[in-house]
Amino acid sequence: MEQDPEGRETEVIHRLVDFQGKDVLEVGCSDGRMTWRFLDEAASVLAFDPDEAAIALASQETPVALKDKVEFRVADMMKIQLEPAAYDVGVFSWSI
Amino acid sequence: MKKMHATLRPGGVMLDSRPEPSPVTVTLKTATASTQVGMLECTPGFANAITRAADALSLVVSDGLFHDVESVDYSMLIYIDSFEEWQQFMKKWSSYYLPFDEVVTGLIRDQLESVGTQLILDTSVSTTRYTRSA
Repeated sequence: MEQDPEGRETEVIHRLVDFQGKDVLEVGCSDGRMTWRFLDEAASVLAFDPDEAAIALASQETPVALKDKVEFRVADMMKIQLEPAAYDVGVFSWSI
Repeated sequence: MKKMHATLRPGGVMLDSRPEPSPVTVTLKTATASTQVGMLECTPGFANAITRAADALSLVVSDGLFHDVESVDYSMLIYIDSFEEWQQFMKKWSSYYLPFDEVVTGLIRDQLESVGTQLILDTSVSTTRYTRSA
């Protein structure tokens, strides 16, 4: 299955947000589908989702060269502890 | 939203990308033809969830937590190559979309067994950026 091989969503999110050098928090990352669209540009990414299998897949699929800047975590937005004023960009990916 | 506001730095941005609660056009594409097989209708729960989310987002803007809102609506395609992928898609998004009846599902199954046949879903997506107020 391929979702958006034309890159429409990628084009739009980059039109709206400059990810270059930013610390990003992603809510509802699932298997990393949207994470890959901005991970290259970001300084760091914390991406979480309550779906353990999806997080395992995302961790497995992370390119080796980018592993240092992304953390995938099994978590729920209501329960996760987040540092105040720690991120430049917050992304809700199909999760609200 | 308030939790997101607290964790963003002043001037930071929040990006919300989600499917719109509108029917999804489903098309069968072969080497020689494209045929629309139906529309995936949204569940009432999905529509209600989107309405609640929209209300919550409006509130954080009217409360002054976020400002400078810019939104883009667009079409996004999903390509499915096998009946198994179709079943996985429907299972994953079962809270969003109502399943087709047995006749249409059987048609999809039969057609996707043919080499080179794809199912194409045309979804409406909305992506909105909000800037965190100081």
